[in-house]
Amino acid sequence: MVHRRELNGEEIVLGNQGALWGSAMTWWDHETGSIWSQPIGEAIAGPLKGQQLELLPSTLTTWEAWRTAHPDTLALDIDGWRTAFDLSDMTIVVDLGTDSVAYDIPALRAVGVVNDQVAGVDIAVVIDPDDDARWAVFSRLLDDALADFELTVDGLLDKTTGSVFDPFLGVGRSGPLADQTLDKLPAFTSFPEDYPTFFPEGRTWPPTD
Amino acid sequence: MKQYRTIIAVATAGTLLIALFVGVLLTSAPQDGPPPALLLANPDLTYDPVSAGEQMPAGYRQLLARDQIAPIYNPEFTTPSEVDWPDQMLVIGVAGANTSKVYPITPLNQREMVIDSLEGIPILVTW
Repeated sequence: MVHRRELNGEEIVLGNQGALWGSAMTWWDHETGSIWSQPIGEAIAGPLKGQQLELLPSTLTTWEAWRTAHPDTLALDIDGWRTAFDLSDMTIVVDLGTDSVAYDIPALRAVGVVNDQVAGVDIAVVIDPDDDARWAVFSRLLDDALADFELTVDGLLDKTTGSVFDPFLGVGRSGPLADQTLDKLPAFTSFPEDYPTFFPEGRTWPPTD
Repeated sequence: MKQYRTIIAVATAGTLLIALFVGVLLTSAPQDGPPPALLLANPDLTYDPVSAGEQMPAGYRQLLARDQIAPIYNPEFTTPSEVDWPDQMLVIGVAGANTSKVYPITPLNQREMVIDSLEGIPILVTW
């Protein structure tokens, strides 16, 4: 989505609030600290509550289609990011600012799910043992409990509450939390050899020590 | 004496006109160059409705600290000939009257937000 960062003709700067509302991201603005919801572009708390940012037209398409239509396009410089890869020898990186962990995909595949903590945040990394391209990272913080996940034939089982979720969408399937959806966290794939370059202090899973 | 005053008045008016003209030129020039550096606030020193005890809407879940996932506040750009991206890679594109910009989904998966501008209009790109 692309929003116009202007309110009554004045530019505003937005950052990442680090919270989800309705399973979507929220922002904070640097001027007033108000909290904004991405899908509606509206402030949901703080001094600017009720104000809305204009949604601008944008296109979600393939690089080939965009480049053909806009040969003179400026392209975000993502030097250092690899975009084509063979997943089988890659890692899934969870980077939460002060702490990051690179999860080895073959080792992940062997266990299906890892319950872990990164930067003090309780997370779970799930992978389809039969398809490396299907994976997800969830928060383990439920309404009143901390989930302890296991990948079963029925789905992602939380042993704390006995609830089962879709392992990649996080949608509840059965049990007491069947009406809930797990919160997704951002993560990305990286080559193991690139990881120390970008994250010199980063940890790896399984631990090497 | 009066003559001098007239000359000074005309000269002053002329200077003002020139200044105005240059001003119009400057403000109407395309702003495709690097945008001015952003004034960033310290998230810890900025008002936070949550810690202030404001009533948050149902379903609001604070998972991380502000900017723990750091937005791209100062994006840099290159040309299509400089990149080697797969044809089928997903991108978000925005087009202005004379300029267009494209953001691959891959980095947005990690950084989530790009604070940018297009032809002088401040924009926020999110995924």
